[in-house]
Amino acid sequence: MSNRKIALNESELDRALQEEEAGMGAQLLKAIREEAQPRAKFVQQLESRLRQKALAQRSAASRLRLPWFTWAKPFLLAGASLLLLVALGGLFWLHQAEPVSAEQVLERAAAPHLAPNAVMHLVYKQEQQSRPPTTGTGDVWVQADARGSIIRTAMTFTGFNADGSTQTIERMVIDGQNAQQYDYDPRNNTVRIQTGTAQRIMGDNPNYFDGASVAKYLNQVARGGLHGVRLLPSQSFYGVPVQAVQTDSDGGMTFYFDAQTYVLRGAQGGGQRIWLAQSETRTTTTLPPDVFAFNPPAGARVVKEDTSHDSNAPGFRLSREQLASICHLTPAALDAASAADKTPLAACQQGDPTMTADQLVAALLAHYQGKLDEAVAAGNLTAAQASENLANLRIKLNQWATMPLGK
Amino acid sequence: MSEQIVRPKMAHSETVSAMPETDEVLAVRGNAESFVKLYRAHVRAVYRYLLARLGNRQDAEDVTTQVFERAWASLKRYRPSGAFKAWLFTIAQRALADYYRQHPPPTLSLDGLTQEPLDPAIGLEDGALVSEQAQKVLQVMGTLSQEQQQVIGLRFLAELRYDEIALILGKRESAVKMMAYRALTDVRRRCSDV
Repeated sequence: MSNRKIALNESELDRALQEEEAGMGAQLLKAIREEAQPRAKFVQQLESRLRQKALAQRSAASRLRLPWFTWAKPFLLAGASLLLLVALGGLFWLHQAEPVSAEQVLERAAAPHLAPNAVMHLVYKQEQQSRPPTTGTGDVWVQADARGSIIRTAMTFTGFNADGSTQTIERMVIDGQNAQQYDYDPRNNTVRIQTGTAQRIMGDNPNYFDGASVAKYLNQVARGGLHGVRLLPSQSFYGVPVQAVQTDSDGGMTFYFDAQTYVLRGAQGGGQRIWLAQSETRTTTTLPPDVFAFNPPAGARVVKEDTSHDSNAPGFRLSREQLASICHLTPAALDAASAADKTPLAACQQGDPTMTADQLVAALLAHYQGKLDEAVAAGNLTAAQASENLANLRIKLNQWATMPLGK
Repeated sequence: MSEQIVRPKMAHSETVSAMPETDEVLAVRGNAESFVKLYRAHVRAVYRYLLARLGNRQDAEDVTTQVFERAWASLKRYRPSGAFKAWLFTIAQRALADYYRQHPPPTLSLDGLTQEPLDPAIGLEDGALVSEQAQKVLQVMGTLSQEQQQVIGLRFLAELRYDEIALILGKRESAVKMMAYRALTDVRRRCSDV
């Protein structure tokens, strides 16, 4: 740097700096800032986490301060038990016309089932008070096995702009412990795909179109005490008797569970309203095809997959050079395969025709296994967490191996 | 360091109670909703800055989470008469320092946005989302000294004023400006087409 610049006086420096900043260009800065934007889902999840943390802390402080808590405690516990029962009842959809006692709800919750091989289809509608207002639909399918246990769930939420055009499509398919989710943005024809265990993908957030998810969420909130969650007096929602549970979270949402079946009838608060518009029960033999298929829009560009692994787990990183080495290719050949939209497996088979998807995934996992072992040895992860992390990565890599490299 | 930024003239409780009821004041009193509003207002700037310093999105998310959790936990020590954003970035600086103590020094920084090692879950063309021009500037910025990257990141990604940056870094404002000026002229010289 020249001495002339160092010798600038304060006003000269201000002026020179302004010129340099202007020279960067507002549009260029905007492009850089936009590139560095956080994921919307991360922002939402962190907000939810902070809100819960803040509310829990406030609740704890209140308990310490209020002298009436000691004598009120039995009443609060009774209320907590009742709420827990409502939440547990909401976990499973009971086919019982008449009202059930708390004991019956608990008993049935412990042995959840739909009718054997039954499939329940629920259609929800949503209105969001925004400027301009938006609407949405939620399409939920739940399947039971021959014993009546829930084995698969598929949920699709479609959001519409005020002019009726599609704003977003989100779909989640839960099969056993595993889940897949995509968020499709029609405007840019891009899709974000997330795979892993259901617990990881759902995180702490409820899916408002899934009564089980909402009930689980409320149950978790209730565990921290009744602060922030209330059972409202019995009431009707769209003409149906419901148990209403209100929470301070998410801008103050009230959830309405059918007082007889515990199906989620709807929710409202925070400027939005959701209600059950249609429900039916079928058998698996009368199902439309692809009800439980995970089918991201064909031709959409995959922009990023969420990586919701343990914060203490080592990140999985793979350079072009490492991948090329595993596949016995040059990095240039890998780039060419990428440009030709080949899948990683197809690209690898150029270098090693005998390579299978399982072998490719195993080679990639071997790279990661060492890091996990180190994390366990260092006490950053338990063996169980490491195992789960590896299982999640295996799911992702299996999907990635057969997805075009250019996507 | 927060006390350096916003030294109270009265006792803390007096200061807070005498303040108009802004989100900062309400948050200090324990209002969760007000804190969430502050979070919404600043989370993107914090994340952008951390991404620039750490070079990958997962770490930036982890440290962003730490920043806001620490902020909530230490709100009682914040003086609402000061600049909340500067206070928040002071926490971000400490969180970064803690991160660096626990992890090897980063090999990628600002240029990590465009040259991050491949994560199979992301896809080979993740970097294609960056416009060519922005990509070039980011690459050049990544070659600046750590101190210059710190100033440029706080200025352009966190969108802080120079006086706020000076408070956070514990330097004179004129020194920060000079550092930024030198960094920008260097970037411009090496991106002659920008």
